[in-house]
Amino acid sequence: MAMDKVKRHRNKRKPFEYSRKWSLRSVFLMATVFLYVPIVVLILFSFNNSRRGGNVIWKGFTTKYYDKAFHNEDLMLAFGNTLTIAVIATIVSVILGTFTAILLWRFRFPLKPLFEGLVSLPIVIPEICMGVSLALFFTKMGWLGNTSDVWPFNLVNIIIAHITFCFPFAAMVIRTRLQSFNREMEEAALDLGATEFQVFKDILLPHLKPGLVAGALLSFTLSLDDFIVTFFTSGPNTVTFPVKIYSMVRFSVTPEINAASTVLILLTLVLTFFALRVQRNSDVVE
Amino acid sequence: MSEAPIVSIKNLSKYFGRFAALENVSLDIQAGEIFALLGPSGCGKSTLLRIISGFETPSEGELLLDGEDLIPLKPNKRPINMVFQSYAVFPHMSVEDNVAYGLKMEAVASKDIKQRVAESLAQVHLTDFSHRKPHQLSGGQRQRVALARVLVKKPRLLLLDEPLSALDAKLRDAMRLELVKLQEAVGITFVIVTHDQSEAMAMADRIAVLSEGKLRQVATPAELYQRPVDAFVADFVGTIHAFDVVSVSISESDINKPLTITTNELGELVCPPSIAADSIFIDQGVSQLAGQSVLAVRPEHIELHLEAPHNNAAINQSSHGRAQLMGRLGDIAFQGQHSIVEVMLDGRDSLTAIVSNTVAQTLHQSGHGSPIWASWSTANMLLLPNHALPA
Repeated sequence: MAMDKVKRHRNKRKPFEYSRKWSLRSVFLMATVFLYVPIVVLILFSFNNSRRGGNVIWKGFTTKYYDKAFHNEDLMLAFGNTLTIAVIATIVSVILGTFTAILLWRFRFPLKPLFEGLVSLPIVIPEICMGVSLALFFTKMGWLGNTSDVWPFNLVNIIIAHITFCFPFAAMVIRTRLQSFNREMEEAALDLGATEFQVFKDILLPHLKPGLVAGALLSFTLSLDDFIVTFFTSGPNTVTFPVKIYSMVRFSVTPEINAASTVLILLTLVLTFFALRVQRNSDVVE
Repeated sequence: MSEAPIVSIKNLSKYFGRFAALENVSLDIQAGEIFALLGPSGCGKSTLLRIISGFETPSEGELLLDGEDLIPLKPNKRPINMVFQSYAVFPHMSVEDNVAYGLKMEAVASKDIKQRVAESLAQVHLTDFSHRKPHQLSGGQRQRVALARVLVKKPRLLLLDEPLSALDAKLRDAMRLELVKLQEAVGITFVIVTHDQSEAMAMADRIAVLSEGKLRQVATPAELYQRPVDAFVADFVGTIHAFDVVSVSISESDINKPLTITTNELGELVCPPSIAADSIFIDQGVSQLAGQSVLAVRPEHIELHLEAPHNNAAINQSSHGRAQLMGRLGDIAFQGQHSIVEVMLDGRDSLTAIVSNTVAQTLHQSGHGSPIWASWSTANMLLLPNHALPA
């Protein structure tokens, strides 16, 4: 009797114990399937030996489409453009985001709530609106990427566009990190003889590191796969990877596209891996 | 005490808007002493510490270190260091780097840094931990890092903000002694901010009691306890049982004649004049004493009896230089070396008395609520002005 009671008690399931309820388990399973199966299929079919069109029937293993993708000059140029834009936009966004975050955290000034709202507006504003408005703005100003301009100045309008929607995210992440900063740390450094700049360099920046990495990663991935804003702001000669893929898909879905996408996925995975390692190392310090 | 003070504070005030955090505070700190700023939270002691360290600028007044004006100097230019309440040890630096940081900022030669850091770490018994990161240390060890980090700079003045409040009780007692020993060894003047009177009493050479931004009294711990200037100080540095004074008769011609003081509870008492706080004679005329002063007794001076000490005297009648009250036995709290006994009184807060455990045992046998007499010598009482007894 007593044993029975114990057993029944142990078997009582809590409402969100998803590992023990078949209904929740199936939701979990389906979510995983819908998330990852398409990606796995995409990667698998990058090795598909199908000649043209469709790319939905398995015709045997080959790596020739990787070779083909790497020798597709237009695609490689677009890939290069995308990386250039992402790297520059990330660096500028993180710097701008850091200073914005510090400004909002540290200082009081008139119309601060308005400024705060304006900074986070690009996060909520529909991308299509941003794309159109930026396109109009660049046309009006005559800032259209010219092929004659030296790299990376031919991409300058796309870079500016990307910074406008990346840096609010960076600022947001960095500001969250700032909330956990103990101001006594700053005063302790001043007390020990540090100047304001040394406090920033020696105390505040090391504390912010996980936030900076997260902000950079967020900016980089946002910039890397942005289609809408880029589509509106890119000229005929300044095509990015997502825009190029889009135009290729309209023509036909070949394993070449799968191959190029796989390379992109791999690139983001490697980056995320390193970013997470930096994060973990600085988390231990807390 | 006749030497020139190391820190001299004159008429210092600090206003935040219309709120006065500090009002007209003047005090001197002597070189080589442990000076405590004591007061309840919000009394302005931390503001005073932040003004000395340079993180706040006073609204009015002077602040001198060895006769030199400190106010125009930024915190990083003052030869003063501070141990913060949270210790503020830099989490991303090793113990060694934390201690070396202040010397690097001074641009001390790197081989000197190494030697001084090692010395400083030895002083706080952290030599074996020099390569650890702060998250690998206990709270007590982190505090030692914070101490080593400031001692290595050999400051003229060391400020400690609630240095023991984050430690557990046992460690706190050990650290009290250690801080005092450390101070004797390095000879640096310490200024300690605390809200814990026992901490201040145990460590400090002199204590400044603050309340509501005003300085109440600066004195040695013994003076503070035995000769408090007013009821607030007396209550803050220990327990007092206060009785409102109804009338006082003082011989104006001879200050050494006994005083006759009347309170509602105790009746008329004849007390030696030494029980009156100095300020009673300085600040207040005798006529003002009634209603604005209290007659107080501390728990350790109260004796308890199961029978009336003076059989023929009426209840609550005091005589022979002793005050007497009748009540009922309340709770008995065992404290280890002694016991605290509650005496319940009609119509006012109960008294507490500190008695030996044997007495407590006898009282316990007579049972909760049984009649009990409290008596004490009038010479052990305190006549104190009562500007503001905390609620």
